[in-house]
Amino acid sequence: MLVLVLSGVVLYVPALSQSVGQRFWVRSAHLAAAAVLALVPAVFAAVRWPEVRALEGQLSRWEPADRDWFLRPWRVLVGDAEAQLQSGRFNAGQKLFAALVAVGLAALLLTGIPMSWWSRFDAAVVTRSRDLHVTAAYAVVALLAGHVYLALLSPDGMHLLSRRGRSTERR
Amino acid sequence: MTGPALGRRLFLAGTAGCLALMAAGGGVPAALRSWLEGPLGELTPSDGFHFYSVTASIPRWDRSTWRLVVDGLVARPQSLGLDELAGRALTSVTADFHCVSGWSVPSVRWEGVPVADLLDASGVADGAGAVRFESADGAYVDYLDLATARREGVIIALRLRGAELGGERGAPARLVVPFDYGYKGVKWVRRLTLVPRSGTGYWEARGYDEDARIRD
Repeated sequence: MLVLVLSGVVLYVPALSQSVGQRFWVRSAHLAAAAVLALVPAVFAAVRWPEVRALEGQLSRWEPADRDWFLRPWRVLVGDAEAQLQSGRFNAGQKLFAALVAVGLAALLLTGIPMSWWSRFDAAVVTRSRDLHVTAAYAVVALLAGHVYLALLSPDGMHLLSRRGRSTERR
Repeated sequence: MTGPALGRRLFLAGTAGCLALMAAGGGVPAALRSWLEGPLGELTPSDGFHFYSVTASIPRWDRSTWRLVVDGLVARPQSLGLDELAGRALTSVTADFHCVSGWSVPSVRWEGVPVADLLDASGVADGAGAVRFESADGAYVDYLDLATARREGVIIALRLRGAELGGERGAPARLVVPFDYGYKGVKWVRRLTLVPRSGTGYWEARGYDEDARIRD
């Protein structure tokens, strides 16, 4: 993921393209990292299908309690531990995050195809794919930054930050 | 695990939306991107070009020693200094610049020497079928067949929008093929060699089409 973000930024931002150069190798690193990111979950799903299926169900299904969570979502932003109490394994915010990141990653993969194999597609499709690719990249990076922020605010994260080790009370 | 699978629906709807925007989104994807980038404005320099190079640095050059060489299957090989080249009748070409990776710069005005004039001055020999354009970066090379190289608008550009080419745009001279994608426009060009037939250029060797014609 980090390789994708770094190589993507170098490919996109002219000042960085200029200081790094080597476009073929940066592009190859970006494509190779994308292939790894796409193949690893696919292989994992194939090998351990029941667990993956169960996880998908836990993330995908919304319960009545999740609606209450969304009535006061701002509480989680300021680190209110009560707001992070979970109705199931995941709270509603985590479920929404999973769906949005999945959409973002699927969009990055799909739009990357015409960008990479441009000669098989209309020029207009390549252009729109590139615009969507950049848009999705911003969205996924913002979601991951938010994820890390909220993870650090969570009880476990707070313990990590204060160097008191992981919380065990909730386990 | 009793509620509706809203996450899955959201994923499928989002993915379908992405495909629809790719296929027939009109100007929506571009608007989304520029809205997100806001004041950063695509993070490009004001001239609208992204910078592509396949080596680590921009080739250095010296005005007093720089030469453009025309050799290979020609009667009179040429070695032209920059002032000699700039002193010839320059042609102005205005065209949209299109990169295969989906960005464009509208109405770019280049000025330079028609490749056809350089070929005529060198006396193309029988058996020559293509021109090999070599970059001073030591890695980049591309080919045009003779008929394409002679077409109107194909120039060795020295100027961009009324000013001398900048280093990042290929200074002091670059190939401009206004009807082809940008990868045919060899930057920092230093040598034109007449060869029997087209060979494989830098990106063509890495999977790009031999035919770089812009498809609208």
